Amino acid sequence: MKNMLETVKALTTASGPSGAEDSLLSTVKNLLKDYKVKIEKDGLGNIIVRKRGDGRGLVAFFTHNDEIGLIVTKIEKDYLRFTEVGGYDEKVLLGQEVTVYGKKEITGIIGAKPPHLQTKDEGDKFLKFSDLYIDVAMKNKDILKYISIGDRVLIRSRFTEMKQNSVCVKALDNRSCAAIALYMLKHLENVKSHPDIAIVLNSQEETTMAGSRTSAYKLNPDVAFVLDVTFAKQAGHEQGYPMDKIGFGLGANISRPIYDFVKKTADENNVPYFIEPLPSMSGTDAYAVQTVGRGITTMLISLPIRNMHSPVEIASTKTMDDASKFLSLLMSNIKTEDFKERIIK
Amino acid sequence: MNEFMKKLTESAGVSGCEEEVRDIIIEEIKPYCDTLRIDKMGNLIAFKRGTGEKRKRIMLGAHMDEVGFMVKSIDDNGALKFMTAGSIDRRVLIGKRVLVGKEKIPGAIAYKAVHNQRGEYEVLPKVEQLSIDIGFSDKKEAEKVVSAGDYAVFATEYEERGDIMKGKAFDDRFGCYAIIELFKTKHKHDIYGTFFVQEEVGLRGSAPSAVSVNPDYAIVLEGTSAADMPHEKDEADFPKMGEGVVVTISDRTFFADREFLDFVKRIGKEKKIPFQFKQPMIGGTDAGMIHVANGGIKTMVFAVPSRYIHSPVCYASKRDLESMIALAKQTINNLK
Amino acid sequence: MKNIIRTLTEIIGPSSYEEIVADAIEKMVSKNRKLEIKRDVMGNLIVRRKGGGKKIMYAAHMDEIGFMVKHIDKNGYLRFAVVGGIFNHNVIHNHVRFTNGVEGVIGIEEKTFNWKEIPSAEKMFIDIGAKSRSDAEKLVSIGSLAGMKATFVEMGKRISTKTLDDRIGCAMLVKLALSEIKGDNDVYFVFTTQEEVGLRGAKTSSFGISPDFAVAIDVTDTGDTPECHVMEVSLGKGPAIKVMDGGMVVRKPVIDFMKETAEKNGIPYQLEILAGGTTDAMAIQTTKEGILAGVISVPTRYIHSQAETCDMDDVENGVKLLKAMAEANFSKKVM
Repeated sequence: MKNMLETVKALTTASGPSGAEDSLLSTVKNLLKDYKVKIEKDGLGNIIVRKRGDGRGLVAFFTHNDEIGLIVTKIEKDYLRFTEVGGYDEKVLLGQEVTVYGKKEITGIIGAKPPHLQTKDEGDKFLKFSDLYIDVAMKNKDILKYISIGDRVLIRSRFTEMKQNSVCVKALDNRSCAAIALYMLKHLENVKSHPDIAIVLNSQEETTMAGSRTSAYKLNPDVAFVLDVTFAKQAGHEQGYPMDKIGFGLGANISRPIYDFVKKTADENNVPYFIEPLPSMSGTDAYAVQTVGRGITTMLISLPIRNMHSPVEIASTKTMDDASKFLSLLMSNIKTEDFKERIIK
Repeated sequence: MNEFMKKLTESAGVSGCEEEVRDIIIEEIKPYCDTLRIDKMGNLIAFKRGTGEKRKRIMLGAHMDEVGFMVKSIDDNGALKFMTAGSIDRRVLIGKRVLVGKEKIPGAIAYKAVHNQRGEYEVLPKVEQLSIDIGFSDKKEAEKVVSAGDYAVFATEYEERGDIMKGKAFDDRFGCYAIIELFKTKHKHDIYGTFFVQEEVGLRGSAPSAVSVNPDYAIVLEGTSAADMPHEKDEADFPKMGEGVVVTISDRTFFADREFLDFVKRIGKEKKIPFQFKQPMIGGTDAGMIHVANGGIKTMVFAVPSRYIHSPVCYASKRDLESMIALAKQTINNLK
Repeated sequence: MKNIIRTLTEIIGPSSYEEIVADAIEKMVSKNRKLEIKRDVMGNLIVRRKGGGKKIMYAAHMDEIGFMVKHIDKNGYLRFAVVGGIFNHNVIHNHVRFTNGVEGVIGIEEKTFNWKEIPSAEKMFIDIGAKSRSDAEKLVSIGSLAGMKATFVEMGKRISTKTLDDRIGCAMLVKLALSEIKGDNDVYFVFTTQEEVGLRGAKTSSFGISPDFAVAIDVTDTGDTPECHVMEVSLGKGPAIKVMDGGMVVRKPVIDFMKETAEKNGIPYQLEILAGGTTDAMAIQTTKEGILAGVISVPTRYIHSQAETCDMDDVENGVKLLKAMAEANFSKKVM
């Protein structure tokens, strides 16, 4: 991991749609080849990176690994029909270039009936999955050789550096946070003592949260940090958050004692942050992790991004870098004994 | 006036911020339990050993949290934009008093005067269009005293008139009260008083508690909707205030075990405890999470019928609360 | 096999009242003396073919969608709440049958009925021919449960009746439990309760068994009727191996294992992506540390109606596939 930019690039350009995240394993192993960690993959597709600490408790980071994607549902003559895996905005689809992950990778275009063949008001409504096709420019007999139902499809999205330390690419939700967590390991090299750490690149958050739930049960950490993206301020969403700060979630899915510790550490070290009020449902793995087993002390840290769930998500690599530094500071200061059950009598 | 009920129902405990309620319960129940702990989610778990020989583990559950609000941001006029925690009927919000934050700053849920609503009178504003006014006209001044993430509750005071209680959060401070009362007497079996967090935002505290307590039986003690206004149509009734403790046959999260239900019905009749049934397949409680925990737990739900739950002010009958406590006590004592 | 299906689908067993179904299944499988049979707290029927190898759990749910009485009016008409995913347009003027044998008809409030809209359950009632409330109370009470009344229609290889969802799965497991399964796997045939209302039985049974691998056997939709939703599943083309549904994404190693087993044994199969709906496998997959789970589906038209329709070839091939999988040697290579 040379720097944050390279780390994010490696992770976001890899393909790992919900339920098929396994290909990230080699990317992660490559990024961490110079680090003393154990990397394993479990039956549900979770990738777990473990770093030994001073043995006083386990802190687990959950940064979901899956990206939204498409899946082939039917082969209709020379075209493919498809639907989503995870929540797509159908308005982004028409005219996108895609890659179909069949027996080999095949490129295609998402198309529909040409505009001059549509009726007058069809042009104003946007097209849904049932109106769209994937065109791979092949004949049916060739398609059948390489592509079958259930094959995953991802929108091709180049990793692009933009102004003010921003990057534009697919899957910043949530590989940007995976990058933050993994890059923390680099900063931890300078930290004398920290608890045992597990970084879980958990599967299936965009669909069922099955990955975080089960890996949290297995690890049973003393403290869990869920890292996920949130909505940055942008046109049409003025109530969004600033892209240059990280957010601390506050509300039902977050355990107050760990929130207080994180906020205090940030205040004492002049780390900029915003508070993210989440009274009911956080829409993140924190919802699933907190109630696993006998309950897990859970914190949510958010990275604001623009254009979420489109192929052109945008976020700041400087904020990601700052976040990694802050996490390693938390790890050097945290005492997991402070977050156990409290015996009153 | 039941001073403890006043303290308990007036305390602020919105889902995710139940500490104040929990502290009040700890102070009251401590002398009557053998062990007392707070788990990682913030649930409070009390244990009282039974006097019998072949003791079963009975979990008595109630949730500490109430529906309320969280401050999302402070606007340029010094007013607080807010979100709701738990489901509150949008129609009860406008013109109500609230208390904000740990300092309990008095506020009001504001909307512009009716005179200025020409053309929009019929439109019910969304939560995003409302704000909590604590008197400031200036954002900077407001920020000195409130911040995003602060919680707010309805400012309702507890009052009594004969058998009738008026107040807020009867759902489910009544359940908490009942557990404490049950801890004050001896029982044959071991009882675990589990006071849950976050019921109103997804029944979240109950399953982890059930996992750690691992009971043989569970009784969930709740506050449920009573609706006894006259209606024309000959259709299913809601429970009626004053007609006894409400027993659940089924709701959207849970079917009561039929054998256990027959047992409870028999006990109620034998001990002459007035009870009524909840309309089937409506609503949901912590029983939904508890009964499928571990390898399955036999669960019962008893509730006090209260008018206007999930709104700023409710009514309930003291007799119904006593019936709930009595039915729970008799159920515990007669389980084998 | 048709007789087993007919017997099981006829029974009225809405969610929470599965005992009669469980009794019938227990009677059928006890013919095989080698099986261990028990029930758990939630009423799941757990039938075990003991073995020393890996634990395999096959789950099919016994419950059906139905109706629960919530009020008896002064003229003896019953007001009800639906249990599970009832499609209101499928039940108007249908015959229903209660768990205790009482039968009736579902009627609708005519005054407010608008032919263009589907009435809600509040605007319906059950007529059991009672003349007054006290008359009705002799037959049913608040909480009584009913399901749709069964008729059984055969169309060549196709059968059409109520509750193929999921008595067809139960029938397939009965057939398997009565057969001689080779190999040393510890096979659990679990007939679950309360699937239609939230996969409740699956949660507790998988918690108790903690299998190494689980397969739910349930029905799935088809894409072979006129102007239907896009779906590449048809009647007669074989049991379906689920790729994804509304609640679950099946792991590729599981799908590959199922495909390879089918191909190795010459069993036809289809791949299934279902837009809405899910199965017990979703609950099993997220139990404790996670359990490797998949689904074998019987393609079925007109799901959640009185006339669910499937193809007997798909059913027989489904049994063959499940048997071959249960006999497989689960070394690390397999999954």
